[in-house]
Amino acid sequence: MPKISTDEMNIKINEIFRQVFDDNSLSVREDMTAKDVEGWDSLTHVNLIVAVEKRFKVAFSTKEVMALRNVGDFLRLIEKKLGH
Amino acid sequence: MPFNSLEYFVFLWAAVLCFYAVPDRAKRPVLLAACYAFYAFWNLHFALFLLSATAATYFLALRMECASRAGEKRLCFSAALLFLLGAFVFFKGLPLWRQSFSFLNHVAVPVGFSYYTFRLLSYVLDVSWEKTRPEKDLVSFASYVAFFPHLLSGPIQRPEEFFPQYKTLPKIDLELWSSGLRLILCGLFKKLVVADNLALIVDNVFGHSTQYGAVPLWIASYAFYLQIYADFSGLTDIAIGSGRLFGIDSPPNFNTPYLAKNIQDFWRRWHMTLCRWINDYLFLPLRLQLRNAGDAGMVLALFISMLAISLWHGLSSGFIAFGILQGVLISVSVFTLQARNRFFKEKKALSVLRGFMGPLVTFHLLMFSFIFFRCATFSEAVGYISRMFQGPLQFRMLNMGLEAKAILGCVLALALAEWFERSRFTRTPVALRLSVYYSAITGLLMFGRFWPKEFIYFKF
Repeated sequence: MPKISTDEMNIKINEIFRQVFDDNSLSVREDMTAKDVEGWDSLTHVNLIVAVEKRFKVAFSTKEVMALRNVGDFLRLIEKKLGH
Repeated sequence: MPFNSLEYFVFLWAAVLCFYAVPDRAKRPVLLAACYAFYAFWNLHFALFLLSATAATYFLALRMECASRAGEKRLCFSAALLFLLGAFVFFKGLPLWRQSFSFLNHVAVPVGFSYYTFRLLSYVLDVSWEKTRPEKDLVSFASYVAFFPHLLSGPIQRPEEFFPQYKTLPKIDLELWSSGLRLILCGLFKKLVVADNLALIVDNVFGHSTQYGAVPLWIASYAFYLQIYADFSGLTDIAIGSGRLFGIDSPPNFNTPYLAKNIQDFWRRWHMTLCRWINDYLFLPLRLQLRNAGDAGMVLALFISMLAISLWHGLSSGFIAFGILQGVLISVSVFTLQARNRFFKEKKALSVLRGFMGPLVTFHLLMFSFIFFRCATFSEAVGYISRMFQGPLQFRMLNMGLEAKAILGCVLALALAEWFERSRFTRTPVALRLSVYYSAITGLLMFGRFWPKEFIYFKF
């Protein structure tokens, strides 16, 4: 996969969030947690992980996912996987 | 020393007095001593087992942190997991093992074992996933595991919820104190007035179900669904309320479960700290592992999680049937949710009906499910349910143990207790506030069943 900029990555992430949570007005923030998004439960959480893995062609381990505390942690993990 | 006994309240107040009377530096050791004294009152062997489980987990978690090699870290993690899960399976399956090994008849299941083992397991998993650092102070860690208000019946508190509050002790928060006392009153009311009165019908009808017609069987199944909630949430209220007297608050265990709009919503509102545990430490890791297996992976993860919730209560055919039934119901609900949402989005007029029908259908699905929970075996529950649909439907209340108006009184009392618990009294006029307390205490004295009837969830 060609290297993408952080802005480009954030736009894509936002698209994925809107798709998974079926909400076109959603804009992700670094401090956002599952409590801030309607419908973000353990079922949709895995859908989100799978969608990100497919879009960016990366793979996360269970330990990496379990250690996430907010969207900021998730963004940094994706950046790490993409080699930023 | 059950929570509905005089001995418990004498012990609680003695512990509170000692805790606030001693100098600050002695408060934590005094609290820990009170926790172990409380547990040793039940059985000294139980207290020794708790101490050994605490010490083993404490040292293995510290070793995990210090281990330089991944292999050593994995070894410590596996040893802690094996010890805790092995003990859990051993004690939970004790009635089964006793059938083959008679010497096990002398072994008793430690009271509250299911709750503190899950607290220890979540700690080990959090340290392993690097979500939390191991606690270095043994007194703090032992207090987290053995905190006596939560020891026997939960809530299953997380390390990150307990330690920040514990470290700031002893801060005196009068608001927390008064809300704790209010919760204790509410819990006693739910247990003594609602649960123990409904228990008269439930014990009579479920105990001799073949002698009753369809109508009493229906009434008893509704009564049990109300009883188990009043009993367990009452128990939790007393536990959380007692904890608040020491300045330790806890997450709630129930959130109006009868209003759940579907099965998955119910399991977010019922025994919330156990369901949250299963969700975070079993369902989510399992679902992640099975994420490429499509819908089959989802169904498998849901089934295993629901079975785990069910088997946490014990290894019996009734609990297995309860777990499988929940697995089926939640899978159907999850897979049809999107289609149902689309359908009601298109047919806006029917949305109002959905708001009413969703909770009603969910209530009845759970009411039937809890028959498997109450009956000792699967076949007994099936027999009970089949007799519910055999006529004639005669409205005879013979020998049910409670009159119709008393049953309605219990329903009303539960609704009032719920309102009482959820109301924030800070802005209520003093006269109204005192009237509510006076009515609750009068109701407790007039209609409470003051016999030592065990809490249903004490045996888990």
